[in-house]
Amino acid sequence: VSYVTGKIMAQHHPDIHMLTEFSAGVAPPGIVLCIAAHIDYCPQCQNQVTKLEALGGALFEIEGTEHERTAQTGALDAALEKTLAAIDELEAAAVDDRNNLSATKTDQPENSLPGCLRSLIPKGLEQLNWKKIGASLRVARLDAGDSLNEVALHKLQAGGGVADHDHRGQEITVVLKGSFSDQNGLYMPGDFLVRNAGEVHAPKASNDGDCICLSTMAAPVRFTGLLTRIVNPFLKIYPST
Amino acid sequence: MHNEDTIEERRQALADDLKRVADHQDRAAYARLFKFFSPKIKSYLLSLKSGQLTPEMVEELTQEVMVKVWTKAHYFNASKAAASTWIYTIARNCRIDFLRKANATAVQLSADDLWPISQEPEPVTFLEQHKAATAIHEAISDLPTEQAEIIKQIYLKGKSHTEIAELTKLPLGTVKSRARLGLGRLRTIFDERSDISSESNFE
Repeated sequence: VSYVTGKIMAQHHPDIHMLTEFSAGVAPPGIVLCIAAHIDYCPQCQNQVTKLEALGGALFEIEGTEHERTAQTGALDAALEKTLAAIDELEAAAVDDRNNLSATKTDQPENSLPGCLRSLIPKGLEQLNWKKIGASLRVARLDAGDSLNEVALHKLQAGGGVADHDHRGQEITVVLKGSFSDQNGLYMPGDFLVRNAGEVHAPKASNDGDCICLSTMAAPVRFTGLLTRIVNPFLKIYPST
Repeated sequence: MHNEDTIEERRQALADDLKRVADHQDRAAYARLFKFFSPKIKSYLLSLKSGQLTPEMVEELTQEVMVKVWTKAHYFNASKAAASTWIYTIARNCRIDFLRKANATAVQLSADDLWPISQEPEPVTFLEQHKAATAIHEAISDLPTEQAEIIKQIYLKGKSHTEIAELTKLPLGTVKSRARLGLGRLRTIFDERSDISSESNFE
């Protein structure tokens, strides 16, 4: 285990393809959110993204020459003038804003969560619409604007587990607080896990505290264990898209 | 065309102009940036998922990006990123927010929350950054076409690996391994975490 500024560094990371799609702005919003959350814990992946962005910037600079050749000076001047006018307008409005600077400070009740999640959890974790799924699991859906994936927070009670289930689609999980384990290992805050369709697992939270994870799921979860019928309500909040 | 000197000189000139905008609201410097970058922003926005944005939307968005270049210029730090990288990330974020708003979903989640523009936990010295930019330009032009093509499809056409596989009728694994090989050849900038793929769940 290695430490950076007192934080335990994540041991499980998105792969290079995911980071590439993230840096190019190509990944779907739910996956972007998971990668952004992971990066908050992981300076190495942050560093990698910085480099990938430099690659994107270089391609943007090299390839964007088509319009330079065809752009007419007149049209470019007109666009510049229009943009400067927009800037003037904005600056006039900014002066007004400063003059009646009121208490627009937003509350940040969840400072311990990655910054990318704060706007989705404006009133804190407790105020989310948590649904009880079985004895020890609670789920709160987040509106990340993703039509292909279900994005949610999962809260597993200390020591609690989830029945064996497999996935019809890819599921990405990022540990935010606490820790959990499955047959493959123990996962700590920042860890980024990908479960592909068909993989079966039974996560269990560590005994020392509740475990909160961010998850993005491509298709409904299907339970495979004996508890299938009992925990079936789980399916209701993950309608097929 | 992209020899080392001109790239570095241009890079320095663009960074200086951004600093002039930040420090002195210098409109002449801004005009130079505008003339250099706005056609590139337009090209970028038009080529992404070709046809997704109408020419009118592209005009509107290009202006929005260039307005942000003015209002956010003080966030630009030449020791952290090239001007073109910084403006690329603004264009990327503006486009994503624009599409999200157009779909009327989750407008409370802004792209700047997801890709914080000024964040950098491991500061890179100016020299390293300087070398990296030149190295990127050189390395890209040296890439085998089939690898460069995939990387360009991702960054400039906005395609995912899966979409490229569908489009080219290549197996997804082939697309990914070409992308990986291409990035591997850009080793000067990616050497630190070439081991990251060992964590992959996609092989």
